[in-house]
Amino acid sequence: MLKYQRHMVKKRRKLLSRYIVVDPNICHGKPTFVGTRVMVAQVLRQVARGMPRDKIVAEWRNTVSKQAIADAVKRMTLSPENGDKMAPTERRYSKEEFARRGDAIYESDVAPHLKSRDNGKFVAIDIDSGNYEVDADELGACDRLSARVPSAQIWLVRVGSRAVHRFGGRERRSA
Amino acid sequence: MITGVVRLNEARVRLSVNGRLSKHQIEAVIDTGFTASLSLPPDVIRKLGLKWRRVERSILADGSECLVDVFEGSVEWNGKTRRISIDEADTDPLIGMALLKGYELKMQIRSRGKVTIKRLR
Repeated sequence: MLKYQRHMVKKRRKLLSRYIVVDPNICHGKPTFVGTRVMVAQVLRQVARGMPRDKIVAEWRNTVSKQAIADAVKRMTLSPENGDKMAPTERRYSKEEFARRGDAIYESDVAPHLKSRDNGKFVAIDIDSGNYEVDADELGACDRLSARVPSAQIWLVRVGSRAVHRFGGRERRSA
Repeated sequence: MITGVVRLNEARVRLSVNGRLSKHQIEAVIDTGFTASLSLPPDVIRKLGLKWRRVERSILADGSECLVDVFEGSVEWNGKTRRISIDEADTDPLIGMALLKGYELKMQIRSRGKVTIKRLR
């Protein structure tokens, strides 16, 4: 009896947020958007491909709102195996290692492909895989990279600047 | 509108920050020389349970460089929840220019002077 009850509890519908639900009766219990059969992983893959949010909303005939997409990006990342697990990331290398590897990847693989219009944009680089994303928004660059590489170890660069941000100090422009 | 007060030559604003574990009211100093959104000390970041996102290079006031862990969290800002990057820095919390983007900042620079931050149209 006890065993049976535990089984029942495990199988219940669970809301992960206002927008995301895990329901054993929908898509085999994979996370979906509330009130739909759209799997969160499907939408995250579209985000990762760089599809504009408006287009994603239209693709699912307005059943998935922009807020729901933003919520999914914030809460979930694609995992390499089954594409729908939550993957909390921790820093796995020293900060110095990030700078060393990140700068090297930027110089050799990213910088040669940048155009002048990319100046001031942000480049998020996964120092493990060398994958990267360029975006005018810093969180945007990181979100797209994390959607593509769930456990991304991100080094962020601002195109054309030595540093991403300044705490009061600035680079000297002239000697 | 967001309001604060000038004390000891610093413009201070109270801010509610949300992490995965908890929610905290903090008092932050507005720093127009700081280009990111918000900085928080390491112990506050742990307590909030902020999600680690990346490492980046920053330049300090003396011109030296440092490597900063950047986390993700949200703040209550002008009645709305805003998702932002939060830099780890072992100082009093700082509000930077990125958080103020799209807003007008006014301060009466005297003791107990008013600080107001208003959305630009």
